[in-house]
Amino acid sequence: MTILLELFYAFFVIGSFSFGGGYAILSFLQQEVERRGWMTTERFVDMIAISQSTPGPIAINMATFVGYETGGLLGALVATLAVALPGMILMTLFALCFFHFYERSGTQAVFKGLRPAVVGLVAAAAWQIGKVAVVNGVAAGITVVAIVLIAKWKISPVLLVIGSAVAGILLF
Amino acid sequence: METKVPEFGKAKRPGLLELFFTFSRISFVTIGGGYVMFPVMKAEVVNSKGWISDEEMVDYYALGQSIPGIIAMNTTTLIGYRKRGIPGAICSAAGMAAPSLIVILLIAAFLTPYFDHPWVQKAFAGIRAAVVAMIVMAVWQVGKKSASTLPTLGIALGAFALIVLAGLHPVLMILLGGCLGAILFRKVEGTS
Repeated sequence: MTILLELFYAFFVIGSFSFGGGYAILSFLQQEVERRGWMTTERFVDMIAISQSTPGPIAINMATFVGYETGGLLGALVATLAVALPGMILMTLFALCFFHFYERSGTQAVFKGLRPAVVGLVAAAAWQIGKVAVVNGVAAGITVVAIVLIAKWKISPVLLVIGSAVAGILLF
Repeated sequence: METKVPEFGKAKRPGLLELFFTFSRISFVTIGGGYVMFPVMKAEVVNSKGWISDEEMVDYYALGQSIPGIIAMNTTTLIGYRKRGIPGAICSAAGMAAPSLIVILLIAAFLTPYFDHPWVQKAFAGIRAAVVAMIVMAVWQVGKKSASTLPTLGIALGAFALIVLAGLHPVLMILLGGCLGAILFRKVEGTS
C-alpha cells in the first residue's frame, strides 16, 4: 500500500512540473528513482530505451514501466494515472473557459503568430530526429519513399510504420 | 456541459467509443512521443475523421505543449473535450494511454531479453527513417496554411533557427510567436 502512495505522489509531482513531454520528465524521474532506490541503473537505462521505441507517449511508457517494476500491475496503473492526471486536470479547467474566447479576433491574432512558431518547432524536431535516424543511404531511401507515398497516395501511418519496419529488417 | 462548447471548423460529433479507439490507434502507431505524435494525430483527427481543422490541430498542440504534463495526453484531452465535453476528454485520454499500458506491461513482464535482437533493432531503424518523412510532410501541409505570408513564414523560419542553432526551449518559442501575433496581426485582422 505504501509503495502505491509513494508512486502516486512521485508521478503526480513529475507530471505537474514537467514542460515538454518525455525527455523533460527524464531528469525528474532519474532523481526520484535514485533517491527512493526503486531500480538499478542498468534496468533504468533499459527502461528508457524500451519507452522510446515502443508505441505511445514516452512519459506514459516510463510511468507504466517503473510502476510495474516497483508495485506490480496495480503500481503500473497508479503511476500511469498519476503522471497523466495533472495535465488532464489543468487542460480541462483551461478548456472550460478557453473555447469561449477562442474565436475572438484578438485571440485569433495571437494564434496567427503562434501557428508558424509551432511549424518551425516541429520542423526543428524533424531536423533533430533526422540527424539520428537518416544515418545512411538505405535510411535516406526509406525516408524519400515514405515522403512520396504520403504526398501521392496519402498512405496511412499504420501502413507506413509496418512497411518501414519490414523494409528495415530486409535492407539494413 | 457539452452543449456549451461552441463548434469551430468541421462539426462532426464522434461517439465516446470512437474517440477511445481512434486515440488508441494514434498511440499504437506512434513510436517516440510528442513530436512524432503530431503528424499521426493530424492524419487521423484532421484528414481522416474531419473532427477539427488544420489550424485547430496546431493551436491545440501548442496549448498541449504550453501546459505542464505530457504533450500527447494534454492535446488528446483538449480534442476529446472539444468534441464531447469531459466524458470525451476522459475516453480520449484513456485511449491514448491504453496501448502504452498493454505493450509496456508485456515487455516489462516477459520480453526485455528479446529487445536487443538484431531484427527488432533493424525494424526500429526502418521506422525511425519513415517517421522523419511523416514529420516533414506534416510540417509541409500545416506550413502551407499557417506560414504562407511573409511575416508568418518569417516567424516559422525564425523559430526553426532559434531552436536548432540556439537551443531555445519550445515553450518559449510558442510564447514569442503568440506575442508577435498579437502585435502584428491585431489590426490587420480587425473585426473578422
